[in-house]
Amino acid sequence: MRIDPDGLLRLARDLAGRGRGRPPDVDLRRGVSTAYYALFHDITALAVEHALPSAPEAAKSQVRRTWSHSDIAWAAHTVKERAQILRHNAAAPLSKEGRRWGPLVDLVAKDAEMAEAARLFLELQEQRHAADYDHRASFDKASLLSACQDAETARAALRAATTSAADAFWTLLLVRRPDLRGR
Amino acid sequence: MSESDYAANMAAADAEDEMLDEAIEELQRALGDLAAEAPDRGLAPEFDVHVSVGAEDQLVLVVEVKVALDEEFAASDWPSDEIAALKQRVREVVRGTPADQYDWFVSLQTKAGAAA
Repeated sequence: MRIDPDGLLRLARDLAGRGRGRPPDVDLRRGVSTAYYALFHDITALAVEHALPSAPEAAKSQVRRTWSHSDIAWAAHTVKERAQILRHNAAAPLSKEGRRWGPLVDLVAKDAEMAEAARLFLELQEQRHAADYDHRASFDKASLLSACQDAETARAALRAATTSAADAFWTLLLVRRPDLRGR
Repeated sequence: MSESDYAANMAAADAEDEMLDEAIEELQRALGDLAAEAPDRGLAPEFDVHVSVGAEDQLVLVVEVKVALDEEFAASDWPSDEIAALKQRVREVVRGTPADQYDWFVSLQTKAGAAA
């Protein structure tokens, strides 16, 4: 059974409740965290479909499991930083680190949808970190629904990107991993 | 570490702190201008910026957006389009300031929830 991003996002919204009233703090925190996980698992699902479209489901699940939060954050951060630089100077040369990945970083960073998805992933990851670990952070129904909305926007952006930009991002996630051992 | 290296490190750290303070001040001014604009008056957004520690132990700026919604609003009354537009404008504002060189995220709450 695969982890279903749609189901996670539905659960996150359900944790906001349907009627009036303030949901329990634990529901709000779990909801924000779950909205992030919906995006995280969506990214690994899309990445493995790119790499191994015809592989058995078990093999796909095994590969999905190899990506850590840091792996995806690294790729998202690389794209976000490059997109920032390109906004100020479209002809700016790649950094030494960026050049390691050939054309991949620029293929992704020049695509506005992919750059937005990368940004939102990083924002949601920080919110998830606060929801899961920061006792002083406060959340309300608006925080949770806003996080769900961001996760949905990011997922839509991943699908609205050009095929070459999306392919480059999935490839970037794959080539940076030193191995595909399960975690 | 020699005394001169120590002094140089301290000076560099002070310069970084000063740059961060200036970036936050400039962002707060830009967000103040946004709050004064008419189109979002329904949500009457208020903004605050503070520094936190991120998931990778890095410095992260939290851009708090507090909106005028009843904290206990029904989920069906969630003004998703207005909120999406507001957050988009906040993000554009951040991108237009030196604060964009730091990690940051937008945190949205109702004014009542933020005060709780």
